[in-house]
Amino acid sequence: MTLRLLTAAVLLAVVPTDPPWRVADPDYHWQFPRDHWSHEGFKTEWWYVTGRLHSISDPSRSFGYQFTFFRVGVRADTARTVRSAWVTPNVIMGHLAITDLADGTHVFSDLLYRATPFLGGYGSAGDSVIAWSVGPPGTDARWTLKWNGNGFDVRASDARRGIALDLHTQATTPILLQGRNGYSRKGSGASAASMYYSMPRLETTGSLSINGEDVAVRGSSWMDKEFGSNQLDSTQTGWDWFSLRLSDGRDVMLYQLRHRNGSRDTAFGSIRYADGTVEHLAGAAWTVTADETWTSPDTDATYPTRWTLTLGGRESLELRAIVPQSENIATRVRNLFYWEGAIDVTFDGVLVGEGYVELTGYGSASRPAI
Amino acid sequence: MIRYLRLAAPSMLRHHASLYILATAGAALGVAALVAILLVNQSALAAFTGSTEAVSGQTDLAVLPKGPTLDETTLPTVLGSPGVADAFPILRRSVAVLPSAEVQLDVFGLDLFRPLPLTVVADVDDARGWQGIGVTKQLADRQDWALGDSIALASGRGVEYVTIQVLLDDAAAPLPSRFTAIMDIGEMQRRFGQPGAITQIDVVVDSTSAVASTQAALASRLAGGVSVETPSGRANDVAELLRAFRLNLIALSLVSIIVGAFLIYAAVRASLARRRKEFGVLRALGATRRQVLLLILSEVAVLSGAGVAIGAVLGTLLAKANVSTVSATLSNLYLLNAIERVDQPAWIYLVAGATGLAAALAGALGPAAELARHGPRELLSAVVVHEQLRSHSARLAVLGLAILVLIGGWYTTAGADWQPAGFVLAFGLLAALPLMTPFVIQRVTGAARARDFSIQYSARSLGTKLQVTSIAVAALAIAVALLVGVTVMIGSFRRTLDVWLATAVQADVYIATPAWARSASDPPIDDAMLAALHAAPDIVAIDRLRAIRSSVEGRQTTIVAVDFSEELPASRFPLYASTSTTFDDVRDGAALITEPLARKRDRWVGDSIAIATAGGRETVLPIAGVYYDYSSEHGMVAISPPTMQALFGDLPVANVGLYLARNADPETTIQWLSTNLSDRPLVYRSQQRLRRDALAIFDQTFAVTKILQSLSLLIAAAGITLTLLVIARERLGELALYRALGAQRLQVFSLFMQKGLGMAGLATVLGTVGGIALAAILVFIINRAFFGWTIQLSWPYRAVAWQWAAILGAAVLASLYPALIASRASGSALREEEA
Repeated sequence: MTLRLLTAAVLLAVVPTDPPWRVADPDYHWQFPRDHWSHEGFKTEWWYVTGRLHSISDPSRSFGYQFTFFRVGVRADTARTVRSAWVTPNVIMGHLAITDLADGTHVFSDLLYRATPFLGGYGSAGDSVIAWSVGPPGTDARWTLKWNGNGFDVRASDARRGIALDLHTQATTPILLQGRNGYSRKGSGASAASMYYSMPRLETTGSLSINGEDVAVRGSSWMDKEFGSNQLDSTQTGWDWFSLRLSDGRDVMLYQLRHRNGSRDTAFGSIRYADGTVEHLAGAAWTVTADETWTSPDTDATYPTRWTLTLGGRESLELRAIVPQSENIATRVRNLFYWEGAIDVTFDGVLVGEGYVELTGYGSASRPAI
Repeated sequence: MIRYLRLAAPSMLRHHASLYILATAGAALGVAALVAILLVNQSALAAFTGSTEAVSGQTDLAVLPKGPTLDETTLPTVLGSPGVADAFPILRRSVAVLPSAEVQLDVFGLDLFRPLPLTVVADVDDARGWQGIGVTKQLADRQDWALGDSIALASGRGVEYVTIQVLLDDAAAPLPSRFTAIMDIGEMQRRFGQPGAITQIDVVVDSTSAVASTQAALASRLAGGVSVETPSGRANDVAELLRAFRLNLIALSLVSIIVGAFLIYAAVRASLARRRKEFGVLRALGATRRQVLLLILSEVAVLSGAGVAIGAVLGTLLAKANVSTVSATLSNLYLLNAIERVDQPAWIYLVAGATGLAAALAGALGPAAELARHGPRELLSAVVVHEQLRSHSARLAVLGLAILVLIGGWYTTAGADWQPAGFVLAFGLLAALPLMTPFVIQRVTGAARARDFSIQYSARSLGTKLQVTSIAVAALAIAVALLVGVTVMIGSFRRTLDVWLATAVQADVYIATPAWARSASDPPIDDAMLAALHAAPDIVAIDRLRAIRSSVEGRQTTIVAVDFSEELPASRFPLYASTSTTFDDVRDGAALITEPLARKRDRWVGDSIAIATAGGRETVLPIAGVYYDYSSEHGMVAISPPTMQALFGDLPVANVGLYLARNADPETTIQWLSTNLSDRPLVYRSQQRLRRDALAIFDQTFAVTKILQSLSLLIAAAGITLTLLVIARERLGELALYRALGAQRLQVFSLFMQKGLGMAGLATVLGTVGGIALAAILVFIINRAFFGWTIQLSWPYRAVAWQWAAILGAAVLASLYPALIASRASGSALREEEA
């Protein structure tokens, strides 16, 4: 996944520029599993896990979920010693959404804390914990993201909103670097890029809670990890991001950054075929057109919810949001809202895959994202 | 009757304007006093509640330390508690703005990564992040500060230069004061706080959860060491803190209402005296007694309604004009926020208006009922028929005496333990005084032998108009009693304070941080500074004071530690109750407590006192002695430095007293300190200056009281005017006769001036006697019950003498107009009277 939500002006306001943040490097030397952990010195970083899950006891019941930890660097001079835990190099932001794809219930929860020893923080390579934070207010449980040796373990809950997630994932395919050597361009500027890799097929088991019900689940997840110090430039307003797992074994990732007038600014994509070969797609190699929209009654933002995706001018797929009202409205950052939901992929009316879509920058009140 | 009232009103207003103005003024001044006091009291509480809401919105609960500060790691526990929708950590400190240190900022250290209910007017994009300070635009304008300016702030540890990064709109966000400032909590800890410490956590409860159950859950999760309180609970605590202060002011303002009621009585009476014929005609035309009574009461209601409206406006203006004085008092005495705005809830106007109207109608009921009782013939006759009071005066005096005996008996047998008992005594006294007034007037004037237009004649004529004069004399006597009583109380208190300061303030030079000069929040003086002191000339001993606020017997109280070694004078702690080993016991770990604390908690030598230590754990210390202290009505605890260290760890020195060599000049030492420690934001005061400052704060505290006293006096003086006008009207025939017999205008004028002075003289004597009794009640009963101080009664001769002169002067002024009216009576008026 490319540009992801990074938070808001309130965070921008505290971002120092001196000493400078590291920028994405086309020759970055990847080291796994070390690169699963955080990268201090880069201003922003996130771990984005999305997936489709099915009830073990009733496989006809399916769910979508999103779990994200964002690291927002607020001080590059991490070595500085100060007399306060609150003078911290990072802020930790967490988003959790669970969607009951059958009845359309979509519940979102978020948190935002300074990375202090008592509120949240990031582990070091070798620890099992990659990132953690205390739960959102009213929840007596931590949110954690751990590395289990071959995948990620996710625990997150919100007692006030009645959702919880406790998942164990195992990678069934290798890590996929997005862009050449994982160097993912986000614009025309010299530093408009991030380091980006995906783990598109994570076999997932565990449990979730929604609507007051605990459900044992199984399914498949997609993990995106990205770090960099770039921001949207002034002409960019948001992005559309697609992750598709097709039944023929292909993993497709696509993103396009939009201009304020809605036209495409920068676009990129990748396809990894079942045999492991990877094809990087330039913007010209794919198009996506919106066929249906949904307008949020809460934010007045109008999001596309059905698309026609054309790959290489030869393959036309229909993408359809299963729950159109999958909008996430942050409570910790004013005017931060976006759409993140599960989709079905069909070809000539036949289901050929599943995926997740993220849409940001829609709606006049939406905060400019980074 | 209503129609009659409407039709007759313009003519009545034209002909009796002065009476109506005075009656309206009576209601207006009484209501103004009450409105002003209620507004100021309410604003003091609003300033407090505003301070918490301003920075974290409408919070439902606050987690507060029982000890001095809260461990910041409490926050996750609070966040994880069921029902909590949000939690805001706050570190609050008072810092002085240099160089003058006249401005004290109440700085809130907040987590600025969180959305807060603050409106930013302007800000600067600081590349270093949130390292600056946000101040209100109003303060920036006042101080001529601009965005990006660096200001020097002193907390005692040193000076911190902070950039103004944000201007806040204190109109949009309900900041309690323009002196409120915000910083990031990390910067606050780094610059002004201590690592790991915060001062409170504000909690918002989920809309689906009950505040009470969330409060209970939090209290149970957090266990000891903290308290979880609702804003109303905290406001109640503050209300409790200010109870004595507020009660005193309200009592004084109620006295204004009572005096105002007397004025209305006199005005109604005067009006009715002029309008007897009018009511006689109405009765002759068929108006019933009930209708006449209703007509009069309706008139009074309309008049006092106008008075209430004027009083409301006047009271609001008065509150606004005096809010800074009260604010300074509250800040100095109670360490509360300054009151920046006068909060004006409607209920205050409703309560004050209803009280004013009720008092006015009560005042009018007597004369109205008396007039309504008469038939048309009596009303139309020229004979004055209202001197039955003369025959009742002895009975009324007995009733007054009975009230005194009854309340005295009640107090000595049952009421002494009830805290407000002193107010019952005071109001009983103020009720007895007017009842005894007619008898006193009758006796005094009866002794005078009337010959020509002498003073004796004037005096005697006062006795013959008992029903009229006694009301005015009683009203003035109450005002005088109040004036003298409060003056004696204040004078005694001031004298006691002066003596105490001379005993307790022993060091030659005192050094404190600017913050300490106003409040006791975090004012450390560092070790380097202490070491530097040793180089100052003429110093023979250094008294170091460490202070902390913590929970003592469940209430936040200042605990101080000073050196109890024998080289420093023990008289710093003048003992109220002690044993032969008091100071030895304190050195061994016992506590000294102040007299107010002892009285309020009923803890004395040999008892023990529970103190919450640094972690909130309670420790019990034996009480070795009780000492006189007039610096805090809430009390303080004094312990030895080792005991303080054991309870709270290492604390910085907050305040230093320097003892100089004999014959050394403190000003030379202060000069040396100012020169050699110029980089330190400290306040140096000689013993003399400290005493002077303490007395200045004391005087400021009672400034509002003086305004109330003046209001009562003003109302009472208006009463004299009214009474004399009534006499002039009722004795028009008599005056005309004098004039017809050759009396000069000047003689009639003098006669009335003498009457006025006679009434003032009688009221002064009565009021002074009552005032002395009132002073005794204030000093020995009310003061001790509410504040816990022992005050030695002393007589402020000069102040009282000045007041007598002022009263008599006011009486002269009040008599001028009626005397002038009376002197204009001509012989022809005799014919009119007879007609």
